[in-house]
This record gives sequence, C-alpha cells and structure tokens, in this order.
Amino acid sequence: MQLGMSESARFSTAEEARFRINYPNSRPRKSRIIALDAAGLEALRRISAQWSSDGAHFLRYVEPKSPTESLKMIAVDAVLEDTNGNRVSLIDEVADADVIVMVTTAGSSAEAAEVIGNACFVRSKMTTGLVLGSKEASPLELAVTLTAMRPFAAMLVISNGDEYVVEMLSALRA
Amino acid sequence: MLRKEQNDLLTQTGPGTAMGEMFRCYWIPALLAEELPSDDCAPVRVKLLGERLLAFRDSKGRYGLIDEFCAHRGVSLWFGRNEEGGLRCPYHGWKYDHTGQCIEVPSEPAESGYCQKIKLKSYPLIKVGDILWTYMGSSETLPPHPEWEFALVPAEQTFTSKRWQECNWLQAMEGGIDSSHVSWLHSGSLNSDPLFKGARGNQYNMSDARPFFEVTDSEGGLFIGARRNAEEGHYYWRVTPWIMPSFTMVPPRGDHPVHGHFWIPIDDENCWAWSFDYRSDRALTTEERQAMIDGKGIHVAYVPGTFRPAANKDNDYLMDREAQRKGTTYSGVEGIAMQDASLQESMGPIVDREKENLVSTDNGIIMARHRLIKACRALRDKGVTPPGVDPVHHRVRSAAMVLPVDKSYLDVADEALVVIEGKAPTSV
Repeated sequence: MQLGMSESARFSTAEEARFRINYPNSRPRKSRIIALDAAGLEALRRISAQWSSDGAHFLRYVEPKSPTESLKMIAVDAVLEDTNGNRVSLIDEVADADVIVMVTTAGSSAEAAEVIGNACFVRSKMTTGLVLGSKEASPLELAVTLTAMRPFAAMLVISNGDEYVVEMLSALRA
Repeated sequence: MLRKEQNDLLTQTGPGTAMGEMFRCYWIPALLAEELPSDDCAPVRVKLLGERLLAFRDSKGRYGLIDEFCAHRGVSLWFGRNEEGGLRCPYHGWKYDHTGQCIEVPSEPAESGYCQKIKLKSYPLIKVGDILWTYMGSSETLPPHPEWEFALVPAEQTFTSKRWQECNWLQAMEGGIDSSHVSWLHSGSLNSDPLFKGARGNQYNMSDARPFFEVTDSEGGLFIGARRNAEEGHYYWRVTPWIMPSFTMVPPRGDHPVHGHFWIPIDDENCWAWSFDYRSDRALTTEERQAMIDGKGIHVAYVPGTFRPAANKDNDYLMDREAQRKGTTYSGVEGIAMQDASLQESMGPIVDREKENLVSTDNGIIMARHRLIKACRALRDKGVTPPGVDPVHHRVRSAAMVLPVDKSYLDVADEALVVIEGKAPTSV
C-alpha cells in the first residue's frame, strides 16, 4: 500500500483488488422460463437441452384457470407443462421463483402474458418478456405482441436470435 | 455475471486481442482538433488501444499519427522539431513525414536511399467536426468516414470535450446504457444543473423511480427505452441508442442541447470519455457553451493544462458528505460526469464480473455484452465486419417523448430516432 495517496486512489488499484473478499455473495436463483406459443416452445426445447442448472424450469403455457367468480378476481393462475409433459400450477411455480421470463415470438397474440403478469404482480415478482424473431415479422405483427406484453413485463427484450435467452439466463445466474 | 474468459474478451483491447481487433475496424476519436491548433505546432502524445503514438500537424496542415519513438535509438519524438514538412528527432536529426516515412537520415548520404527503408507505424488522422479521428485497422478495409450528426452540424451548434477516466472502457461504457441509475445517482442534478433543469420530463423521472424497460436490437447496436408513468393514459419514454462498440446518446431534456459519449480505450485500465452536446436545429447559446466549458452537464472542470478531471481519485473526488446528507448531490460527488466516473473507477481498473448480481432491469447491459461478444467472434472467426462500421448506423438520435399507453417508441422510430437534417430533437 502506498502512503500519501487518497483513499480512493489507494483502494482502486489492481493490487488492492486482490484483497477483495472471495466468497459466493449470492444464493443460486430459481428461474421459470415460460413459452407462450409454439415457436417459443421450440426455442425453449433447444435451450433446455444445453442448460444444466437445476434451478431453471422450462415450461409452456397451456391454459388459464378460471378466476374465482364469487370474488370477481382476475385470472392469476394457469396450467403449465414442463418438458417432460408434467402439468404444474402457474401460481406454485411463480411462488418458488426468483426470475420469471416469458418467451414468445413476434406476431403471437401473447394473451397469456396477462395471466402470468398478474400472477407475478400478486406475488411481487419481476417479469421479463422476451420477443424472438422480430426480423421475420412485420412492424404491425410485432406491435400486436408488444402491446399485449407491455403492461405485464417490467423488462421487454426484442431480440433477433434465441441464443440471447441462454446469455440472459447465464448473466442473471438463473 | 460474466465468466472470466468472456470478461477478458471484452476488456482486453491491445494489438492482437479479439476486442482490440474489433475496435480497429472503426474510425475512433483520437484527440480534439484544438490540440493541434496550427501548422508546425507542438506534437501531442496519444495512447490508444495500448499503442503509444504521436500526433502532429505538418507545415502543410497535414495530420499525422505515428509511432511515438524514433526508429534509430528509440527516443520519444515528442521532443522532436516540427518543421518544414516533417518531424525531426532532436537526437541525431532523423526526420519523418506525416505518414511515418523517414525522409532524412543526416548521417547517411542522401543518394544511398537509406531513409526510404525506414518507416514508422502510422495511422490516418482526419478532422470531422471538433475531433481528429483515426482508423487503426488494415488499410485494405478502410471504412467510409464517420457520419455522427453531432460532428457534422455547423461548429456553432456543437461542443465536444474529453476526460481521462481511470478504469477499463467497458465499465465506463456500461454506465451509459444503464438508464435505471439516473433516478438515483443523478437525482440531485436534474433540478440544478443548467443543462438539465426545467424540462417537463424531469418531473416524470423524479416521480417514478421504477421504470419499465424495452430493449430492442438495431442494425448498429441497440435501442434501450425506459418507460415511466406520465399523465393518465400516457407513458414517458426515454430512448437511448447504443451503437457498437461504444457510442451512446442520452435522451434529451426539454429544449436543452442533446448529449452523448464515446468511450475509447487508452489501455486496458484507462479510457477516454468523450462527451458532446449539440443541437440539430440551432446554434448553442453563449450561456450553454459557457456552461459546458465550465464543466456543467456531462462535461467536467479540469486540472489546469490536462484532461484529468479536477475532482479525481487523488482528492477523493472532492467528496462532500454534507451535500450527500442534504440531498444536494445524491452520492456527495458534484457533477454528472464525476458522479458516474467516481463509482466506475471505484470498481477497480477492470471489474471482476464473475462477482456481480445482475437483475432483469440490467438487460440492456446484458444484451450489449452479448452483441459485442457475438460480433467479436464473428470478426475473429469469419472476418465479418461488425455493426457500427457502416455510416448508415451513425445516423441515429436519442429521444424523449410522451406517448399513449398503446404506443411504443418503436412506433415513432422513423421520425424520432433517425437523423433528419435540421429537424429539432424529439424531446419533452
């Protein structure tokens, strides 16, 4: 350590960086990646084949569960299906997750985003929407998908390639 | 989180590195034109992408950017005499022209042609706007000249500065595409800085600290849209274009000039933060230009005679805990540029991204890294020219706007996010 320097100068050197405490500063994330349409599901199948983390569940949206009529509630639950064909409940999956990603393709109606978004909202979970294939779709088709997803995704990503899903999950430690 | 090999790929820019080769595909800012103000003026040391160079302007006004050291005994040519069409080494009189070609070796007979066998490495240096730009790649793939709007408008409409930032280029650049920090780190400046205050959009910024984001691929890089609540049935959008490898524009505020940055590696532990302000539709006012010279907005005041910020790591960035407590400045550091730089330099020369914990609102950063890595590998493995080289990609603008909730910034991209000569920026 060089004396006579300011604290900021002393502690921002490469030499001092060696003394940063080396420990895992976060626990593994649990992620739920949910395909909203057939093309999104195809992308997830490709990705799940190369993904090794136990914390990631790759799912497809099947159908909504009816809201409770007596309370006139909005739909906040749905049936999902994992890559082995097992059916699970959206609300249970969301409750257990840290990261929720909805994957769809430009041009899809993305109606399921509302149900998933609501389920995340009541559990105070952030949602990310990933729209693939924007290059192949017309601006109007893309707009339909974005309009459906926008109110329900805190982060919307419009990407030209599904390899981005892998990069994003890796970056988020999902 | 980035694995070490990914972090190394993105942060190493010296000769022969993958990212270094990618930077060498572009025209990059080398120095301010005012640093070489007249023919035969003093030469200027320039370090870029880990290479020590010397810039000079010869008797005919030609710009040269050559290896800093004399081919004879390795003396720095910064001590050279810039005279009569070349730069002469004061040690033994060897003389070089603006292309680095040796044109005189006094100890050898002129007829011997010895000097013709000596040539220093050199790069082209051209003036566009207030900046001298260089291209450090192969002469076989020399790209067309840069066409950034801020550099093409008349001189009275634009202002450019640069400052030395003491960290790797990537952690500096990532601050430029991280829209969510503005409501925190810069919150004290929005209502006080003369180049920011008074805009209607500032109210939306301050009243909604949890923006939603929309990030989309563009031909040259990305558009990063931050959406905040505005009046009933409307959203306030701020859209930042990022053009590869390191150009960003900050969304405008009211009628203020529009600003943006380049982050250019000096070496792997230092970079130049280039900052510009301009108006596409009018001259800058005297007050605006003076504020920029005084270091307001995204510019800084300097240690006299240098491009080092007056507030720097050696004086703890003039940290003011009282201002921090009062909220005059959120972090205690004065000025938008140094609020960013102080934190980015505190990460260390090259931040270890294996330790970071990104969240979904960091998708702009994640996507930019993804695009950079992808382009880097495509260039290295297949020779594919990276996005951002084509001047068509330079003709972008940032924008700030209030739109109905069923509209996105993408719906108005054709008029708001592209250069339309003479048209005012889209701003709120």
